[in-house]
Amino acid sequence: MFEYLCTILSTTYQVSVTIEPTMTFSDLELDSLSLAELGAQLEDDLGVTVEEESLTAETTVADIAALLEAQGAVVPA
Amino acid sequence: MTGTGRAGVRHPEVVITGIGMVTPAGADTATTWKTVCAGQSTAAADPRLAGLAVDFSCAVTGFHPELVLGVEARRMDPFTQFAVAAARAAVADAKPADGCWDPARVGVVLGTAVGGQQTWEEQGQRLRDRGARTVNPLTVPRAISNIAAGTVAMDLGLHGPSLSVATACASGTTALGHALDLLRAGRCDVVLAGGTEAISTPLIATAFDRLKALSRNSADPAGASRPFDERRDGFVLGEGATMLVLERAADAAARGRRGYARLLGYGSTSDAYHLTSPAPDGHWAEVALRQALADAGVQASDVALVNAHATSTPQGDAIEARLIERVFGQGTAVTSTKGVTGHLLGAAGAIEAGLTALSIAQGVIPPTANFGSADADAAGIDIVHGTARQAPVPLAVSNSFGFGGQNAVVVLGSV
Repeated sequence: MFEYLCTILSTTYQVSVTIEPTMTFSDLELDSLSLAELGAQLEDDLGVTVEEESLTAETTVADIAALLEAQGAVVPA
Repeated sequence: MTGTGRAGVRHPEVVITGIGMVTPAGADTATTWKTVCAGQSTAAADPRLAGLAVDFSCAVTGFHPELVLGVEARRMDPFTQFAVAAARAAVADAKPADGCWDPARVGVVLGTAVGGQQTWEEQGQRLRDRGARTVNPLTVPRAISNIAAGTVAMDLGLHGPSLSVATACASGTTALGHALDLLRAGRCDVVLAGGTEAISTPLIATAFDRLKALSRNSADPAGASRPFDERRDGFVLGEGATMLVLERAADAAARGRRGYARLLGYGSTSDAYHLTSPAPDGHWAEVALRQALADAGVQASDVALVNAHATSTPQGDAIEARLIERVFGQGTAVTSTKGVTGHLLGAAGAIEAGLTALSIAQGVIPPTANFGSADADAAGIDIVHGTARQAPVPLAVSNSFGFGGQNAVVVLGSV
């Protein structure tokens, strides 16, 4: 799941730094619009529910990966 | 470099120094011009409209938003994608040296009749089918009608006024008129002006068809858009954008650019008559045309070409043909490039002004595609058809008339 998140963050959201699991979305410089988009994209692609409060500037990539895995999300082929 | 227009008022002259096009006739200006001059209709079956009563359109092909605009394309409705690509192309064509334009003095005036329709329809469908959680949080900023102009400014780093104008099918021409005013008044040094539209959607196609405005010639889409022809039965939806770089002639000359054509005059009126129908006597459309000629300080008899609004509807084309005959008689060539491009609604006036500028620059008048023979209304005007006509075009007019009776006309002349 972490690798999947890294892929969409670096392509769709143009994150150019090397992404570490402990980095927050603030570290990755995603603005609130991008976070809203990311949440909607994850719900669309993975069929999960991502509440607004679980995807904030302070959320780490590892946090969201764990949340997705806990909901049984499967990385699309 | 001044011109004498309205009531002898002297204005600084304004020239078109850059043209950017993304149209059904081509994803760039050169391809568009070539297709338009060949008189090749671009109407064809449109998979986006499959199963509908009208299932064809003039679609933009060969345009790949992600390649042109990168990942930011995902945040743009197609009407914005077209506008941004056309604006970049227009600026590249105008070839400003680095730093020669003060971004605070560069404006954007962009016409659109509808806005981000594809986004509204897709997200509405999601809401109904899959619930509120599936609606894209960027729906509003993708779809609101000002966002194409706003995004053009953002994309190019322009800080002058950024305006959206909506006069339905006249929007592109209205945008040019307002740009002319901004330059004459000295409020801007450069204005990117034009129009954009992306309305080949199921709801728009159905709604126009319910209004009986569209051609239903599904058996022969390529023959469906036939302005002024006696067998015309409605217009064909087009899409795309055209942006023009306008600047004062003296400023352009100072950086070694003459431009394609001068934008000499503008006229605008309202029929105040009917929701959809133009006034049958064409009176206020004629007033707009005469205003534009007066603003340009020229006589009707000096106009070599009219790029007509003629959309291929029975009533609209007839009213315009009679108007052209009244004002210009037989001596002025008339073309409607909508036979090739279909009707781009809010972008129509912009693409047609761009094509008219190319007619002036190159001395070539594109033919009216699919025109075979005129009915009585259009029998008194010289409709260019068959093949493109080589002829000097020192002075030309481009007409646009919108739903709601909004009329806009521009006059262009050689540099």
